[in-house]
Amino acid sequence: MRRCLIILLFVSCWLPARPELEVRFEQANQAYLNEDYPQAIALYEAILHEGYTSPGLTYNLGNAYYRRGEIGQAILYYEKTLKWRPRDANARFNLALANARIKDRIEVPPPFWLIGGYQRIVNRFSATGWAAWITAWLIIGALLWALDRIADWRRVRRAIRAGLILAGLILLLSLPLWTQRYRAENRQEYAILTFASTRCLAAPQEGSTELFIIHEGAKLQLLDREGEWFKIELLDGKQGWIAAAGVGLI
Amino acid sequence: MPSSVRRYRLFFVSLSLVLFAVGSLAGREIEISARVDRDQIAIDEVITFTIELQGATDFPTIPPPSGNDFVVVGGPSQSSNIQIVNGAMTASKSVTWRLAPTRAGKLQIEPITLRVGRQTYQTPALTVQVQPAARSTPSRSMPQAPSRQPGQPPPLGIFLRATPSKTTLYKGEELVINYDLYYQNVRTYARQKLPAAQGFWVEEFPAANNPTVTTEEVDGVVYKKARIQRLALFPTTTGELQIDPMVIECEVLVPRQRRRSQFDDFFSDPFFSDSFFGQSRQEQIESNRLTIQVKPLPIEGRPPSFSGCVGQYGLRSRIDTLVIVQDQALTLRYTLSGSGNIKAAQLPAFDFPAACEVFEPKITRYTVRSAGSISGRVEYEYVLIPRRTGELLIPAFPVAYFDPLTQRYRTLTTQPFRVTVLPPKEMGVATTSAWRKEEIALLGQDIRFINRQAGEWRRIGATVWQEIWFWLFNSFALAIIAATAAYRWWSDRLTADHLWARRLRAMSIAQNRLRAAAAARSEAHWEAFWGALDQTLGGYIADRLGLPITSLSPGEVQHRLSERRIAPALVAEICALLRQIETTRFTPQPLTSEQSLASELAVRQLLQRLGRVI
Repeated sequence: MRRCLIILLFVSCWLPARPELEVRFEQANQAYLNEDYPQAIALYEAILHEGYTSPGLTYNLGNAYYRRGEIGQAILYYEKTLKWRPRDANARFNLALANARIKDRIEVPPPFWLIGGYQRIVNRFSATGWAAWITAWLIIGALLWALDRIADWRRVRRAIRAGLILAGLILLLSLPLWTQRYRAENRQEYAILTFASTRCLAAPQEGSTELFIIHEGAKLQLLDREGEWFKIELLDGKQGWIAAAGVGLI
Repeated sequence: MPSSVRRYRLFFVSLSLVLFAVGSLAGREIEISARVDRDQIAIDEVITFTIELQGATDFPTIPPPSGNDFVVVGGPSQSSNIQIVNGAMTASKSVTWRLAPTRAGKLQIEPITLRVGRQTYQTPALTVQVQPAARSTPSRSMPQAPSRQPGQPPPLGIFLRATPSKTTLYKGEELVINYDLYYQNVRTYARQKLPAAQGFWVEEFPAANNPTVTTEEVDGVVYKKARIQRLALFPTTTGELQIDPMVIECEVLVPRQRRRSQFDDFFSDPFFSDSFFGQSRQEQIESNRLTIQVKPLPIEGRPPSFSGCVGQYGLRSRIDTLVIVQDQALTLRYTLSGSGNIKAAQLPAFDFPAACEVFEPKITRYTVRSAGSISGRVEYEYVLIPRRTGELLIPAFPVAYFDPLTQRYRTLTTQPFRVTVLPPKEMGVATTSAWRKEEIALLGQDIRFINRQAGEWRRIGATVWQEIWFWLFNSFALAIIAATAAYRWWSDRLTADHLWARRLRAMSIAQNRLRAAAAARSEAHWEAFWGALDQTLGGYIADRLGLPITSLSPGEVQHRLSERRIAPALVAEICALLRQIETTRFTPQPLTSEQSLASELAVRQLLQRLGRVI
């Protein structure tokens, strides 16, 4: 009996989906295909409100908002998809298309090639992917170490030791990448403005000096929070305070 | 031979010749004469008065002309000449002043008296007729004297003249101003500042590095003339506009203050450097100020399509395709080219058909400054997206400009285009109204299709720390490491610590011996049975206490166990059993199988009890 329970526990780790979520996800997809975008949005968001998410869900929700012309929301959900799947080509394309429709277009120079290359490596896996990668190499390293310590196979000892060094190096290099990816996924550092436009003020209070106006879809870096106000910075370095109501956290 | 040595040798040879010539001329008679360049002038003109002496070398100092009729406005400029022909030397000297009359009428230049040695010489009196207002007939063609212009000091022999192509023009019409430097002895010049021209948009023609130098006579003086700057100005407002002077800084060569002689020409040869025989100084030269009258463009006849272009223009229309799929972008270009205010030229707002979406045009300007006037082109690139299938007619649009040559408005028209718009191939672009120029690369494309697979579901806010598999596999890896380490430690101690190994294995060895005893009992091998029992109990105690088994007598056992604070009853029981086994083992009478079994069980029980305490 105890053995059966342990096997079930292991198998449950690889169960592909929760059936009830899959059914509702498919219902939302059908509403989208029928061009009933409000219904599709309602169904997708109902799943989100239950506390579940998936890359396919956020991507499809972005599409539904795009079809309804709510560009800010569409960009928000494409960004959320890319947060978990940075190399998702469809989400990247749709995000570029949506970004072409916003008013506050800020040209950001491409990063230095070395930083860009490092970022691509970091984005190779999600944080969970990096965790799996590191775990796999930890197991391989542990097995190789056990073989090295216990077995008396003189002919393959050198190969075992080389494998052990390789596993150690991979682990050593992968840990900072995982850390960075983990922080990128779990920090709510950026947001998208979902209101049509909002005023950026010099201080977190109504009536303070108006600095500039930002429009729907603008990507904002969150620097600070003061009650119902966010201190934000645009990609071009402009800073100011905006009301938290119209901001969707990525 | 070094050039400096050669130069000085030549100088001393020349000096010897001069001294010789001076000696040969000493004591000769002097001839004196005076003349003016004109005997009839206007009140606002000047005359050149020259006194010439011949026949001596130590000419006296000639005073300037005195009298109230004329004032000296220039000079004196002197020139000397020495000629040696067949050993006979002749010398002459002339001194020139520029004189301005103080009043109209018949004026006289007073005679000038010179004293040479013991002799006195006098110039003749000269009479000049000065007209009050009417100009006299000039002896030669002379442009307006620059010395009378403000900001042009004549004594320097240098001035800067600004010459506009016209002084009255229309708003937006091109005005070209040439800046000519007139000079006699200028080494270098550098522009200090461009003229301030409020109300004008200024275009600068590229200046030549080495401007062409010509000669021109101004007011009786021959100047070198270099065109150092050309500007094109386009008035942006109307009325009387001022153009401030242009300022340049010149390095002017100034001859040393010494008596001029025939040798001056010789020493002015570039062979002798300026630094040796002359000096220079920096002078700021200003051009004349200009006043320009700017007229507004005529209102009469102004077409509605006029948008401020002034000049001579042509218009070209281009389209990249005449057949296009609905919702695809097409590019329409209108190019206005010609000469005039090209930088301010713009096309009027065109009323494109409602069936297409039009973006803000991309405007490109190209200006040419190398020709005699400013020219170029301005290109408007429109991106249009037809939103309906069928025929899209882009009409001919009028573009008007003002031609200042003919002083009339002219109208150009763009070429009309008829574009065939095909129906879209698939689901069209999302219907929006906010497409922008940056999206052109993405136009004609729609967002990509939804994902039919949800992908990996997870709780919002869940991290990898909440994943079971993560902990299971990492624990597995750590377990492997821990187990390996433990095994190595155990294995190494077994090998290295013999007593520890005996203690560890004591019970299993005792169990084996007990099994051997049982086997011997079942086969009625009593000697082997009692020997195995003895070794079982005694061997176990010896292994646990780390003692040699051979030296372990019941008394020794009692002693060792008592040291370990084992319960005395248990110790007594063990010792009693050991003595019994020893007695029975070496006693000839046989025991029943029940008795042997009881002894075996007693050993088994004692082993278990001992195992708990040692």
